[in-house]
Amino acid sequence: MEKTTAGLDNFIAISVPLTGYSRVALLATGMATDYYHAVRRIIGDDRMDDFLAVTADILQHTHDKAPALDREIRQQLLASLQYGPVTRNIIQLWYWGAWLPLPDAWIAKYGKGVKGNENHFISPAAYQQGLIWQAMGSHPEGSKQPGFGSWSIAPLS
Amino acid sequence: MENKEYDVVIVGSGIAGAIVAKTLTQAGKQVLLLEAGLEAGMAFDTDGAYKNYQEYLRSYYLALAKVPNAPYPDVKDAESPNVLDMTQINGKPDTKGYFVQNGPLPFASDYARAAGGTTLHWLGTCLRMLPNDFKMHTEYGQAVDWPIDYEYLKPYYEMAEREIGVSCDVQEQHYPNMGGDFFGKDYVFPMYKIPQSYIDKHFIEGLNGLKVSLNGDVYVPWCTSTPQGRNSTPNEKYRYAGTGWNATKKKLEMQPFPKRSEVYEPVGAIWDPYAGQRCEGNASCVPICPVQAKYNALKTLKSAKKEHLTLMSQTVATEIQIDSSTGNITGVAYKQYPQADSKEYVSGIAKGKIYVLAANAIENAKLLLASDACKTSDQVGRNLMDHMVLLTWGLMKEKVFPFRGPGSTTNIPTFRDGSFRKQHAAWISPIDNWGWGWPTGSPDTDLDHAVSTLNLFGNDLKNYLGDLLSRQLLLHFECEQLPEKSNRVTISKKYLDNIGNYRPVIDYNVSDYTKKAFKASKSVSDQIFAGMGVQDFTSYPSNEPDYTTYDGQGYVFRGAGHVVGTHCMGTTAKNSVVNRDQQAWDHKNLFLVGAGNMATLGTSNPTLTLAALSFAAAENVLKALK
Repeated sequence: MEKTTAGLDNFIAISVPLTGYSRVALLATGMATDYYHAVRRIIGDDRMDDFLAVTADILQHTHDKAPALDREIRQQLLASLQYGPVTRNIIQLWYWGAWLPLPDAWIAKYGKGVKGNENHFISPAAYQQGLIWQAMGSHPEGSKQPGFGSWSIAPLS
Repeated sequence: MENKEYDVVIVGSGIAGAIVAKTLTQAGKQVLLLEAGLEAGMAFDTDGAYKNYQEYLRSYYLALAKVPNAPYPDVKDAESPNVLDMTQINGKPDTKGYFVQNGPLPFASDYARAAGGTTLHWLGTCLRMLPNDFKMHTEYGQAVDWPIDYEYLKPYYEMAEREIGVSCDVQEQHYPNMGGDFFGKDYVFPMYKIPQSYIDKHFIEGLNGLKVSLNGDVYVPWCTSTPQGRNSTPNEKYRYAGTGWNATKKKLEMQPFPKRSEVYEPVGAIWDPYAGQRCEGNASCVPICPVQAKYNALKTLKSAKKEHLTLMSQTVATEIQIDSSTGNITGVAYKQYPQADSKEYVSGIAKGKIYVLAANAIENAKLLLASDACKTSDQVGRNLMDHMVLLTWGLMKEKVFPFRGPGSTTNIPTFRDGSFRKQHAAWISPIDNWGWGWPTGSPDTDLDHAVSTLNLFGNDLKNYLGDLLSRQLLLHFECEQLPEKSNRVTISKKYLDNIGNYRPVIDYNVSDYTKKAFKASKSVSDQIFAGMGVQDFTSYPSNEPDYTTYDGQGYVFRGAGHVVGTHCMGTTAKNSVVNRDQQAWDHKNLFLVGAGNMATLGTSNPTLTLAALSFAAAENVLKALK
């Protein structure tokens, strides 16, 4: 249990700089636990623990501060053949709610035991909670409707 | 069931079938309605209707590609076409989806075989056709004239606008060559216009005063708010309670409110009349309005007279039976499947005095061909039409915040009619409110591009998406397609569905008349974008399914979902399938309804016109029943 909670905390902590949204904003989506478990379920415990160990290390030695944090995210995560595809998928999960298939090359090298890697929304709620909608000043199409005539004025920023 | 003879048997519960069913049952006739889609879709009790619709919504949320049919069950026993099945056709028929596509270009539209029909996922645009649309041959030397004119259809348009519940400010409606009495003196729509979008306001301002050259002529394009079948604020000047049969005068009439104090009440969701009283801005009209503020045919069906209406769902009409000596129809053979995707079915025959086919243009044609019906003219299945939609897209200079509101709330009607129709197709240009969603798959494709290719994350990503997605502009150029004999639906024993019914085999192409309009409308788009400072991102890749070339340029068109013209109306039994009363020339007790009757397409989305025609057809059926 402790390990899971620590893992979840790490997952949320690295999601903050990856998405550009605050910890509170991410928690407010209600999706953190679901995304955390989804990634763990798909890539497996070993890969997930590796990923979280690296991200914890990055956050710790950069003191969670740019520009060092940005450089480390680029160098250790995005540029990494092992962690890059997973990192990009986590960003897209938060923004769109769907898992994207990890590339074949990744699967061949790191993907032993990967399950459920097909393109899918984690749940109906995941679609509804995508951050992309608030990034563009809108709401998820078909959900959280803003009311009659709202579209005729600029959204409240 | 098989022993009972009804006054009328109707095939299909979309808007055409529902209007006929409602009108006839309210006039006291006994009606049997056959629907190919699932039983659950027919639920009208509060819980059943709500639960079923929530299932549709859940499927929509989970669908990766939120295409028109994404929310609705695709049942193997009554398959629906899906735009995702459309591919380039290279020499041999594409049989991947429900359609067998012979090409040379794939037919690009779909429809829904479910209770309520394609109104489940229509956009709701309710434009009337223009007077010249009915006389293309006389005015422009193209195609054919209809056997009826705009004046004939006008009272039925009013009935359709009442039934659908159209929101529109009549004084804002300016179309080319509309004449002085297009709407009639003092006419108003049931509800005031749906507010125009924030994009529209910027676009209208940007377009103001811009001169556009086309074929050597100069036009000053203008914008008009679009009439829509979705709920808005009732217009207190509107005076009609509904449409009813006057048995003495033998005609359908609009019935005024009994009391002066009564006002129009928007028709809400089928599970709760107070839900969906106004469009709430879900921005998902296609494929699904979560609150049913947008009209769908289930609303009409629900208001039919229950005790006179018998509904049979999961019942696929397979053949109409013909008495060879009289030509009269004696029954509709059907297959009723016990549950979705079952290979088993029970056969039966539905009997009535009069038969009405309202199963969608392609399904009607299929059924007629399977029955060897309406053979005299050799027109069944021919003249398949759709609006061929050329899209252009770019970035506005300022943020206009798309992905909000109904799909489109404003259009440019300037090129809907004019002498250029002698040379090329007319078009209408809706201004789209949903960014680049249609052509590029925005917004998630932009996200993927930003993350995977631009290597953005964090605040940079958030800001990039915020800027890009809030400036996206999309214009449609919905070009008219003329009726052509070779664009057609046929059937073949080689291509059968899960329970042995025919699948539609489609031959389809685009003529130079429409291609010239692609060239002309792209030139108009270029001038508008330049005049407004829109950064053009339009591209027409040659690997798109409906890629075509004209005059050295490549174009990609898309289907509008306007499936029209497979059993055309005309002046003689030799040139058409139905007469001006929408009665089959070859079978006196058979009426065909729906967009299949339309002789030409014009530039209006066809639902309002087919709804108006369905009221006219219902009146003719009532006259025939005596």
